[in-house]
Amino acid sequence: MAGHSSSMPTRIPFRTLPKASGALLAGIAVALLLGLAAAAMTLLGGEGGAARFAQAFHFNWIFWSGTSMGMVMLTVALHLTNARWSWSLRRFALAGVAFLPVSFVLFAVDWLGAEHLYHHWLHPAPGDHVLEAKSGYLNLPFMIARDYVGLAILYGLAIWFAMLALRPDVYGAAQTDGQRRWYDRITRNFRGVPEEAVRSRELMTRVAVFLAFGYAILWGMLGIDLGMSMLPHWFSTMFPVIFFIDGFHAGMAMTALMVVVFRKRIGVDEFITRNQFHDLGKLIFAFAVFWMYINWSQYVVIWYGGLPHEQEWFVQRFHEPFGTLVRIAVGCIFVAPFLGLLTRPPKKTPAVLATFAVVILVGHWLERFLLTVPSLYESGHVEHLPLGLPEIGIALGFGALWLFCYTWFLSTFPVLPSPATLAAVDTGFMEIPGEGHAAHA
Amino acid sequence: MATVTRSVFHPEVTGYEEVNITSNRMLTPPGKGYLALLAMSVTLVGMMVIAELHNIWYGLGMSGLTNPVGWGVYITTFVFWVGIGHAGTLISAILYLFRAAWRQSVYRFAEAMTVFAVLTAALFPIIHIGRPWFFYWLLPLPSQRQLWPNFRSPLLWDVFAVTTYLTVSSVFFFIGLIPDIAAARDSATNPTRKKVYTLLAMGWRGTDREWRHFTRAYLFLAALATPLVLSVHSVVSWDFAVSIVPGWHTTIFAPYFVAGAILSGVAMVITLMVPVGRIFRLEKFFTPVHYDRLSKLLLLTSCIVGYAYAMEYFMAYYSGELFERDVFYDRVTGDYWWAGWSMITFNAIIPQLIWMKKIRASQNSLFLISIFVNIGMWWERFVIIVPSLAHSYEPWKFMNYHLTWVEAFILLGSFGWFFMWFLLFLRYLPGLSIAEIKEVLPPPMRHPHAGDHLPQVNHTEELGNATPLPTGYMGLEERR
Repeated sequence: MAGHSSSMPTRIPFRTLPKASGALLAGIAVALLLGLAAAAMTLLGGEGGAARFAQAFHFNWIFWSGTSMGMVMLTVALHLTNARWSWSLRRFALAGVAFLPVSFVLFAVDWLGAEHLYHHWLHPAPGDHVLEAKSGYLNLPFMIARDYVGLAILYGLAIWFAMLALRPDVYGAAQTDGQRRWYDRITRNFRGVPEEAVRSRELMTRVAVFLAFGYAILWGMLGIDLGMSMLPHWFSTMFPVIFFIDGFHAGMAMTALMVVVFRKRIGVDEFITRNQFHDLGKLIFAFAVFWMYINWSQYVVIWYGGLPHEQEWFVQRFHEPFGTLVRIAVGCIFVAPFLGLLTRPPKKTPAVLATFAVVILVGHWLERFLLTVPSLYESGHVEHLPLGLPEIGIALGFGALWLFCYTWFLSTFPVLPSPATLAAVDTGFMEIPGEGHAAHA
Repeated sequence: MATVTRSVFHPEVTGYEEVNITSNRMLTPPGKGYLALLAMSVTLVGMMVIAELHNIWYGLGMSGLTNPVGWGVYITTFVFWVGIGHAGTLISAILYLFRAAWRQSVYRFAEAMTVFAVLTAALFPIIHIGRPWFFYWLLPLPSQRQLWPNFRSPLLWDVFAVTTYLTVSSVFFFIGLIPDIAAARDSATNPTRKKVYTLLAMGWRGTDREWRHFTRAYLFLAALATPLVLSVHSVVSWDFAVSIVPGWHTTIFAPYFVAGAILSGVAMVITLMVPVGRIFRLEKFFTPVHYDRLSKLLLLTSCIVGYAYAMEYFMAYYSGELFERDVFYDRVTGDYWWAGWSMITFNAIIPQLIWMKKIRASQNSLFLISIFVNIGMWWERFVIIVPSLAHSYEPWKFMNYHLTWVEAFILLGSFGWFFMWFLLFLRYLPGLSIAEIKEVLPPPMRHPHAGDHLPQVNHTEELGNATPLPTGYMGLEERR
């Protein structure tokens, strides 16, 4: 009952993802081109024009950025809770950090669609006292400023955290020029391996605490701005929580998927046991339940309260054509993983776990769509579901960029932590001066 | 120099035997301090009985409850005690599933605290209904009245949530006790005690087979108890949130109440742990590691609660709604400003001191902070319940609430009732988990390095002849 065996391997190879194969790069390029083509066609008026592009880009940005940030937050959580079981999996989650700079740049594109996304409060109906009352918060300059500052803080901390994690490992290990450039930058003013391992660990803990707070507060704030404000009369104290838990859960699922996909190619298969998949599966399962719990807690309060301005949100989403999607999303994020991952064998079988991870990711992608897009449509007057080629195409484009960043990280930095880093982890026992054998009566 | 291996959690515990000796010592006749505390608790219970008899004889009008404040100290105290009851199961079940080894020496009495806190909480709905002999109307019993409770009422959900929680946490508590009761049975000298322990130990002999079943049962109960930690206080929160009273009707209530419950429960664990550790001389078992981890848990939940407070205020502003804004503004500036500020200061601000290592390392300051949180969490429930009712919607019906001596006596008596059970528990049942503490101690071995032969998670296959990198990697071998 005391816990896992705390013994860690001492012989750890330096392994990275081999240079991306031609097929992978070609796949990424094709997906990116498809994404660009879909974006161009939508913008040129193919399906709803700029408005359609804005909403498709908007929820895709939220999904891919949230998932990447969620992956970093998973590493942060594993670090803060001293989760020794996860030692060989953490870099798979941490690698999500590579997409953050891209996300930061793409955020500018999102604001180009502000006129379409926030027109409810950008041009309020005359005499709308509620919107007047909150115009101090809901105005575009303030919103852009706070969201950019928030993202800069959050992404900056995440990158700092990742650099600290890598610092004691990459010292003197560069093989290629690309690696050397990054390794030199990361290991500037290096003070010796054991010192750096301990220092990194301590500093990471501090950064992790700020990240944990920053994520809850700032990602929640982004949720209010990018999601809730699209229906500006509606408000729910749970919404920001749902928004950041979504990212965390999707990040977990993406991590599991990436571990399963890349572990053999990188050659770290032997360091990832079935027990670790089991633990990862348990986490994914638990957060699927938690996701349902917070969503239900929001729903039951609003349903029972019966106040029109609150129910509007659910009415919009439960009406067709969105209603079916709501059921599918709940099925993907909660029902399927709950039933499928309840027992032990599926969690321990990598292929099955990865399948559920994909289902969950699809669910979260749909959920981001549902959190944002239906707010732009008048309930009961939507003829066609605004989800089709533009959305899927743009998702492909985002996915291509994401995968490019992700594989770059895995091929540049060691996937397993070094023995020096592991040595800085405590084991649960300590040696104290004493006479001879352990003093047992 | 020769060294010995010790658990980081209990560096001064020399071996298995010391755990048994300490646990059994707690069951021997106590000192005067203990008896004085027990007498005080029983006196408080007496006060509660008097007040409740008064309540029954003259009716619920003896309390300060009236329109519009129909829920007052009784419901506040009910929520308070249900909340206290959360930390025990969190520590015993959730941390068990998380394999947090520091829980071993703390969880037993935290769990006992849970059971007694829920028992205390259960008194209040019965007191609050005014005619306690009709409490069975709360249960869906078939009867000739053809009258069923209203299943759509969250108050009824509460009945189910709390009774389920009480059942599961009691069973979990009892199952966990069995091996330790058997140890107490084996060392008991008093014949009556021996008989009672024999009965309670259910024939436990400690065979492999028994342990195998025991650990299975324990794991399943832990898994069953885990969702209950979240569900109970969520349901309690819906007593408020599903109504449309501003200040109650907010969607974050469920996790916010759960976090608050864990905050208050962990605070109560620390409040109990410091004196219990001193009275029973358990310094070797309640070590700085335990205080450190508990205080971090306190800090975490305090931050979550602080987040919820902030979110409520932000959303009241963001809503742009008059009534929402008004009730939250009133909480910190209206007639109950002192309660509103106590709640914010005690629950969200004072615990921030725990960021400092010095504070975390000092039992006295932790004890003090935990007292603040206990008080603050009672005020939190009061602030949610009373000012919201006293100040909602139309000004003509604003009216404040006044506490009566009957309610004050019952409130104090609830503490007496809780401490009475807790003190009796310490005296009659093993307060330390003998079996589980041993799991974090290094196993007794004739040769100190015999452990090296234990199977290791190893990957000893040759990884090539490459020279190791500075950071200890095995070097860059040819990729297979």
